[in-house]
Amino acid sequence: MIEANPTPVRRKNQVRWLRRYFPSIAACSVVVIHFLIALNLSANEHDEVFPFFKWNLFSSLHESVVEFEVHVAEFDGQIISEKKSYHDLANLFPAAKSYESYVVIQALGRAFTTDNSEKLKQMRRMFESYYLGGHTACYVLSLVEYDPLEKRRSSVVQSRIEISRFCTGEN
Amino acid sequence: LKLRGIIEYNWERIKSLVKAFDVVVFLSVIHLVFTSLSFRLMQQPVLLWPVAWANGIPFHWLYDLSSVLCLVLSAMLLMRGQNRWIRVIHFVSLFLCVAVMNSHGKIRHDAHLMLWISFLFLLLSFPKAHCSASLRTKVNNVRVFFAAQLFLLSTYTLSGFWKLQSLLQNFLNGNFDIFSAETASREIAFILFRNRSVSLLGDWLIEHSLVAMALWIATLALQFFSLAIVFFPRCWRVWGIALCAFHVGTLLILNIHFEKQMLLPLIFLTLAPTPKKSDSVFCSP
Repeated sequence: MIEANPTPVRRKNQVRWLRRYFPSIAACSVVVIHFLIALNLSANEHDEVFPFFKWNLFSSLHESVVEFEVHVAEFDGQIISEKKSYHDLANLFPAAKSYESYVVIQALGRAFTTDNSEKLKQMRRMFESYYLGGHTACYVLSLVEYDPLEKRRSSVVQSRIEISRFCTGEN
Repeated sequence: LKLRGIIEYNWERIKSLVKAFDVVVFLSVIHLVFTSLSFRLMQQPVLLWPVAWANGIPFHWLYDLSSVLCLVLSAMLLMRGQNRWIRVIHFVSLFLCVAVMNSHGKIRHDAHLMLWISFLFLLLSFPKAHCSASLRTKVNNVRVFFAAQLFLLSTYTLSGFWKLQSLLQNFLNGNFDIFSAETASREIAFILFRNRSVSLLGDWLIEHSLVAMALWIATLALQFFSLAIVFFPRCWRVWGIALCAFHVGTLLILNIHFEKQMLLPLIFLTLAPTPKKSDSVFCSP
């Protein structure tokens, strides 16, 4: 039975008990809370809340990959006729080979397809100012589907759908 | 008396391991600052919430300030790691520094463990200079170290859990093609293509799909059962080496750099004191 007004001796014992076990209880709580949050982050795959992470590194398995791709159509006023992925243009854009640029392009594509105009604006600003190196350029966002093994062997993609075309400095 | 001796021994060992962790943190901060150097001149960063208040301040100022502060405090932690206030201030600077370094559109996860374990170590209590810690303090510190071990292992288990969940999901969706021998090779090809990188063993493993699949299954088992290993202290040493080897493997196969994390299994498992039945850290002094 819980006493409404514990005696001073009991209160002193409770405080002592808390002081004795606080670090252990707090440490274990951190571990358990982090574990539970990581398990429940699953519903929201792409919007991570730093410093929580669900630790789903390389967990997805693919038969074919569907992802967004950017190819640059115009660069500093010159039309680029060859359809090359942005990532293969490291000679023009030093950041093109970074994994971060891949993630930003995926976020840009998701923002466009989900009509999230605020996120789209944010991602475009970042992509154009940093990943396109501040050059004037027009680029095409596409959705591509490919089998990684096939693509590696023959560079063939199963499908490519052009979604939108953006130019730097345009809204 | 026997219990007291064992706790003393465990605490002495753990004190050295906490120091080793502080060294890893210091080296990791240097690594983090230099690997993020290319983002320093970014014009339009997407600041993460811990540093969102600094929106409007030029990013290179934020970068310079947070990295210098964190480097200085990490060096101070090496010298005066027993001072709780230094630990607290260092943790805050590390938290802000990692947030700044990840404000370029992609959150990297190689500093997360270091950050969380630094947070757990705020609960360590050290005696004042020239005083020896009470037995109760030592027991509490041993438990905090144990919690850090649990934390480390739980992240590997989570990683294994999501892989298993992905397999199960494919099975329930009737997507049986995913269980072919080529699946692991396909994943290696995808990751290497996505990162536009080349690795030492990646190409060979893509062509030898059975070896790739065997390695994938071994990784899945190693990760998923990591948390269970807590109950088998005799396996800690081997498991720590295996987890370290797993990171070396991802570096050689996928060219994924998790150097900051690589040493943690060695500190928290391989070199950790292994409790015996008679010296449970849960026993009160």
